[in-house]
Amino acid sequence: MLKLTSVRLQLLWGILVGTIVLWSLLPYWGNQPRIVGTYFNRDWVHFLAYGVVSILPVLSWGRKTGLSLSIGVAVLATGLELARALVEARSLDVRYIVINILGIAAGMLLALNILTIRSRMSRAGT
Amino acid sequence: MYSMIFLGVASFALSLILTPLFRNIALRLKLVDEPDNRRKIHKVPIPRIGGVAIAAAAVAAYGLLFVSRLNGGSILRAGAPFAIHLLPAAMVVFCVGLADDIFRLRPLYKLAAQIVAAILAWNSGIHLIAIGGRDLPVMLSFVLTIIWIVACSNAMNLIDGVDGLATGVGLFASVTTLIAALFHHNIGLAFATVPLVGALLGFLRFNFSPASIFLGDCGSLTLGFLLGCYGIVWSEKSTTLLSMAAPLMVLFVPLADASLAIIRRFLRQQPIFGADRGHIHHKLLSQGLPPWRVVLILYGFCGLAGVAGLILTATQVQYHGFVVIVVILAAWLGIQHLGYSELGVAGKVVFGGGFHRLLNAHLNLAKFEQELMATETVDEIWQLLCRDSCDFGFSGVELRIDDEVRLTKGSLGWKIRVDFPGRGYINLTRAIGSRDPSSAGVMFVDCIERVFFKRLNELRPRRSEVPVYAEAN
Repeated sequence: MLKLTSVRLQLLWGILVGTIVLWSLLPYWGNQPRIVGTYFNRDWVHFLAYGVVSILPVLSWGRKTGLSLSIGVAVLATGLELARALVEARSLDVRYIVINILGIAAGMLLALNILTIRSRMSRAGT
Repeated sequence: MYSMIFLGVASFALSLILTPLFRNIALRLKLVDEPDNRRKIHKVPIPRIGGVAIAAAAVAAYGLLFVSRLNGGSILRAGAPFAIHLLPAAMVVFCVGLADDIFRLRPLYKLAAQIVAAILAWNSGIHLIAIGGRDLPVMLSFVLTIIWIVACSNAMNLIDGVDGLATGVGLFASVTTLIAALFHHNIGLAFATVPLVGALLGFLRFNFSPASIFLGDCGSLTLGFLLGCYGIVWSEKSTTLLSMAAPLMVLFVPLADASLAIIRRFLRQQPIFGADRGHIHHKLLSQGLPPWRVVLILYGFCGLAGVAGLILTATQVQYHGFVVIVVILAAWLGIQHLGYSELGVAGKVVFGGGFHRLLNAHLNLAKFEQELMATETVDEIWQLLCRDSCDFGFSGVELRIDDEVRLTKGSLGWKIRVDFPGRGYINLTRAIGSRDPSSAGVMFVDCIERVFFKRLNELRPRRSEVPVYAEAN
């Protein structure tokens, strides 16, 4: 089975951030919102996507760098949402800025919880 | 609006004037909290009737508003049913708290008085009428209202363990409730909260670390009681289950502390109403933080919880689920950093497979005991021991009964020997570094000690112990 090493997590994080940037700024071709909207609630997609993107750096780079990167993602998410106003047939929605930031906060908190459990388990030798 | 500002400023000023006055009276009457060098962290006797100063400041501020020319007096008279009808209930809690500060009451008496006060509050119109937009049956509404109010009163009382903590937590809760009341245009609730905010702010000047006066039970119980009642009034405007969590967020820190205390004491099988040094503030103090820093950390959490409560009450329903998730994750992180061993061990037992292993060991043991009782010969017992001992983490068995030795090949490890007086012994070897739960091994040894010897004697009693009966003619 593929082992989730730090390098692989970092690579995955890079790919996910790239995908989010592309997906957010891609001009409207008529299908992409529908693809997501058909199967999932779009609020949850935003929340979960940014949650995952903020968990990965903390788990792979560690507390200090990871949290800084996650905060960077929050800035990027806000910037992307604002930039959507400039893209053809895409619009700015302030609601999503709040949801993205809540997703990033949840991701960071979850990652910190995982790190705490991990360090406790390694201290206990289990 | 001017009336509200007047009420807040008046209660703040009166609190600043009255608190030192009541502090000196308490010192003269020796109504002080003596240090015990154990659970309490203060070093000198400190007056403990600060609640009297807060109550006096709030009531006097109302009085000033009534006699003033501002139209708040008439607004207050119009909104009086809520504030005035709650007064007898609040008086009961206050008097019981004061009696406890002076005479030390038994916890059960205090609880009974709180229940009476909560019933009075229910009678005055404080009803938890609906959850998630669905109306509750009257009986359920009554029971939930009583539980909520009593829980809030006690939670605030339990958190009053460091200088300025309960006052600050109460202040954050009052300010948040006031903002929510103004947002919902609930003038009655806003008028009820403003004097509390002013009086608490004034009192905090003397109660913050190092404190020169304590809130006392009269203060903490009454504060918790009032905030519980205000929370119910606030929740009346909530239409969904998640938006009902807003008043809960306001008292998140004291309620979480009280819940943790109950869980800890339940897990340790300690009395629920007992006192210990395991509260959140004690845990932070034990990490070497000074009291003022502990208080500021908990203020920070109260502030965040207050913001979450306001987001829940002021924003669209779409955000609510996300806010609740963030708050739960933050609480989880906070609790993990407090390092409660009870929760760690319980989590390991429940989620780490410990519970299943223990259950399995009990089932194996019950089976072993049944089969042991059904054996007919020592050889059968030996075979049973050889078969089952490894299930309990033992790698080797040596059985010596009536000078007959039976032995299995066992790896190196530590041994447990059970003697059977006059018959022999059994040696059980446990391999070094065995990962089987050692508690299962102890249970197995205990079972052998209890059942095995009894069965051994039933099977083949020693010749010397065989009773000799006189033969009948």
